Amino acid sequence: MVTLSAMETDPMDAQSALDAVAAAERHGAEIATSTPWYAPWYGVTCGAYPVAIALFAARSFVGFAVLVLAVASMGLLVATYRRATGVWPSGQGMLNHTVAAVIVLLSMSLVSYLVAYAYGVSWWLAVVAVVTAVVMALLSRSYDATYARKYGAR
Amino acid sequence: MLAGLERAAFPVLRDELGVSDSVLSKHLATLEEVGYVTLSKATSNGRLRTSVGLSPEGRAAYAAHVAALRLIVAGEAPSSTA
Repeated sequence: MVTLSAMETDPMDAQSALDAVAAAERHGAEIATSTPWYAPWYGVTCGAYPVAIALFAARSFVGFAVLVLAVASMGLLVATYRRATGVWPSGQGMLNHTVAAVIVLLSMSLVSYLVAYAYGVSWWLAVVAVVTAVVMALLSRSYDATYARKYGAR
Repeated sequence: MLAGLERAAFPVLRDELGVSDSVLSKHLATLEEVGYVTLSKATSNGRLRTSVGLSPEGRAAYAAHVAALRLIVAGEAPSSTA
């Protein structure tokens, strides 16, 4: 049940209230998408995961170190973002981006594992890492742009 | 502001609303009491940091409120008024 004040039942006051709501949501989105360093950092961190998987497949213990660094980097990224902005987006309505990111990361990791298991590790791993990093960074930028548009920030 | 966010830090909300710490704390306490927001306190670098998020009930109440306002703007009467 919705309870409104007498003032809010006036259409002009209700419109003012809606305008204030939209402005607050817009400002929240502006704050949430105000970190240009997030996407590159996120991309590089994600690019490390297929590298770690490939090294594991090639039975190299360096893979463990890469994985630890990648996990630490992701944690530091999240903490730095929260400290810098003071907010965390809800992710509601952004399922497409989340699913795309999971698909890209799992696919590149699977390809890395299979190729490394069959042929060992060589220059191709650098290509996989760079492609993964670039795609994930672009997905992150796309997420920000879509999120900002959703709340009228852009 | 919280509708599009999972959580927001106390200072961010305070600055957005343009109110003092005590005023915001009082209102948040009331909203927490009725189950509309959740408050999370964590220590970081020796300082206590509070973050605020809407509960599912709070999001539903907010969505219903916005829907009612839109009905009023559209010239239709909402289901309940006070």
